[in-house]
Amino acid sequence: MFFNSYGFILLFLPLAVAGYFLCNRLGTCWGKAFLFTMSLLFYGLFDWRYLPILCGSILLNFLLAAGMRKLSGKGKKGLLVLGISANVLVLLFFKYTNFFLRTANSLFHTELPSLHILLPVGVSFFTFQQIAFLCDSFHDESISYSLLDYGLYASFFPYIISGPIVLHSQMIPQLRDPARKRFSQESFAKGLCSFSLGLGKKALLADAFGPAADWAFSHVLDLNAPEAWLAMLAYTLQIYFDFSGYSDMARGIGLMLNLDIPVNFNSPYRALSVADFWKRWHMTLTGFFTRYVYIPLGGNRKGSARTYGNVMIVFLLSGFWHGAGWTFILWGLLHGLGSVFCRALQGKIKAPKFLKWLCTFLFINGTWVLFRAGSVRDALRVFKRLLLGGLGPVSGEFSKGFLIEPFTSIVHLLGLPEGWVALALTALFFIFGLWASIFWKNTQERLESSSFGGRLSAACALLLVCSLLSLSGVTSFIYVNF
Amino acid sequence: MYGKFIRRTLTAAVSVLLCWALAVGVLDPFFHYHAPWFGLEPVVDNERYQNPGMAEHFPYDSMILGSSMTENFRTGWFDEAFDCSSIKLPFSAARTGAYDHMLKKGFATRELKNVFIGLDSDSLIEPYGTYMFPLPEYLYDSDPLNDVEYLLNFSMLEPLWNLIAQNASGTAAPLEDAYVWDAPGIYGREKVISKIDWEIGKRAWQKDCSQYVDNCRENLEKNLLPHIKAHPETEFYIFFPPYSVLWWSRMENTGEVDARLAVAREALYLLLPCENVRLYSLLDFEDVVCDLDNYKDYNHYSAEISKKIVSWLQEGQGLVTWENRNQVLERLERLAKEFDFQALLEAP
Repeated sequence: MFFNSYGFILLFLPLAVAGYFLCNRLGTCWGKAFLFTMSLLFYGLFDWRYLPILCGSILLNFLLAAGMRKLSGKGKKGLLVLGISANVLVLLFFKYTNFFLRTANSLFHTELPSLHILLPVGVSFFTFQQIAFLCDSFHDESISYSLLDYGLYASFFPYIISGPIVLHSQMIPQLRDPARKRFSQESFAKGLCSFSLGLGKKALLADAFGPAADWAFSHVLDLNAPEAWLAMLAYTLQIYFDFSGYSDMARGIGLMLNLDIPVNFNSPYRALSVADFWKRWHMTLTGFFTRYVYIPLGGNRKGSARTYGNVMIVFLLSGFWHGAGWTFILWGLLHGLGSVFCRALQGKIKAPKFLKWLCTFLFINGTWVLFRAGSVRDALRVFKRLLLGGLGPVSGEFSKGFLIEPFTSIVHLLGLPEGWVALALTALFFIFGLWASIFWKNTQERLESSSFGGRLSAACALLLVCSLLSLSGVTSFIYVNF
Repeated sequence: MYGKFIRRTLTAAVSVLLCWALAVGVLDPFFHYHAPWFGLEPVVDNERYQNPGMAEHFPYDSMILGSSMTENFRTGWFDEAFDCSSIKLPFSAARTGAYDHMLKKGFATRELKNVFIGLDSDSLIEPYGTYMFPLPEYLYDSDPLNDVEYLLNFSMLEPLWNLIAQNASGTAAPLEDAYVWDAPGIYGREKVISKIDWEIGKRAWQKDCSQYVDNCRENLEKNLLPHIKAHPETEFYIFFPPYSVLWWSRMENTGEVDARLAVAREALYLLLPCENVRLYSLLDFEDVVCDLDNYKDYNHYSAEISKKIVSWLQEGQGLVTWENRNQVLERLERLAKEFDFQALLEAP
């Protein structure tokens, strides 16, 4: 059950919010127990087989942290190493086993078969959160939570599937704070606004760019140059609106529950350098890698060469974390090199702001091609088409995905030429998408600056209505003669 | 400020959504809840979305099922020939699962006098439970919770508008004209030949028939036979549509001649023992299937042939019985394996 579904918006979310505040009136633990139950239900609805994996992970990490509080010295360190290893192994097994098998087959010319391994949703997120918890518990013995608090934190439904990566220190104190157990109009209003904006980004924008990107990346050999450039841009916008939309919804749900989930995006396509991009994109992941990988490796305290090396390690790990494939590792590698390059040149070259932005934006777009392509070869093909694809019209197959409802119905009812309308909508979506992602106030800026008047209310209501009405569709089959 | 924002936003959103859902539920362009109210004429133009509602809520005592092969049928032909009140519920690229859905809805709400089914070979060979084009399950099941996909759906704008506009202007087409693709100038030998996209006379290695036969058995045993056996009072008129003889050339090209003959045999053997089934093979009507002027491509026959099919069903022409089943199968095999397709194309 994803956030952008009827069941979640019309049933689960109202039930979760109403039930939480009602249960809080019964006592401090009741609300948390209710949310924990709802979180497990939410997770189990994806596949009930995920639940034992999640619950097992939560219990193991909880017990390891409890064990670390009782031990000292080598024993304590041993438990930390065991805990981190166990979490990493869980991640490696579920997410990367087949990648390792494919790589071994490729390198050693073997024919090891792929395994049918269940991949628990959100495993990348909840293992990282718990690694962070173990590391903090190692350093600070005062960290001591009840199983209910910890279980709720680790399984909390707003962020378990796709983040943000929330630290225990950010969430558990809020869960314990009596002031946050009461309904807050301000918090709910901000949550409603954030959720509406996020849902609109996902259902109306990301889902419009998605089919165009999908078509283009599955027809890389047929693309002309304009199509290749638009495909690259389409994916750039799709991934932004999809991921930031989901993060907005997660944050919005948290705010409705009077809980503050960290901001994850800050208009990343405004970035003037790769480093700046990573301070704006998936900010909680950047925070995690900085705190638990970069700084323990020495950060920037051990000279330039070591700093650059640490940066490369972080980005390689980030690439690997994002996906089980060489395209993701290469993507991480390039971002690492980009980051190192920016650090090396910092203060040495003065360039106009626009040029810095353009170079960064082109770099981000180019690396997204690697991220999206099915293989390194396909990515290289796209790059080739960008430069050598030749001029030509944009295919109707690319633009038809932008002919969304209610425009489809309007076109049919008024007898308008479908192809031309689709092209016009394609242009409008790209112009709007770029403008909104770069120049418009982002969700957090809007929450901080808005007066929550009639215009915002109307906009949020319109987004909610349009998004909900676009979750389902009707396909026409006009006499296909089979 | 915040309280007002919450109230305004939620009230506005909920009100608009409720109004939309009400409009869809009351006007019900897909007949999911009822046949048209307020004296409105139904506007029927989307088989997959409207057939289940029509099967459940429209008045009829006989049902016409099939693929695009049956879309040109007019219910009036059947009503006159069989003294019944029929409804046409075709599915382009039909699979037997769709027939199962329609029969369930039909039998749940009334007694059926007759069921007429154009039984395509393609519908039998596909794995059980698969569809060429997916069905909108929320309109086929009885789960009220997923009706939200119908009630809160932007795509309903067009059907709603068509329902209101065509009724207001009196241009709603008669129900029996729904899905008819017949039009002047679309049939003819030249048109058929221009659409041949395979090599005439090229014989591919014959595929193993067993999977096709197993699928046929499962499709019939799970989707059709239960209804036939549960309703002995209903007469089932089942026919193999008269594809042109070029269909066998195409099967020869894909290595499926033996497989399709085996499927036909399997269907015969499963359906013939049922006393309330009248099975017809129209595939071997040589004077029809060898005249390419009757077709618009290798298998879609004209509306004129569609009308003749009704007469044939009524008169018993092409009827397959237990006694003549082997002769029917032999004729099919002869047509499939011995016909000179090249000569047909070269004939003046």
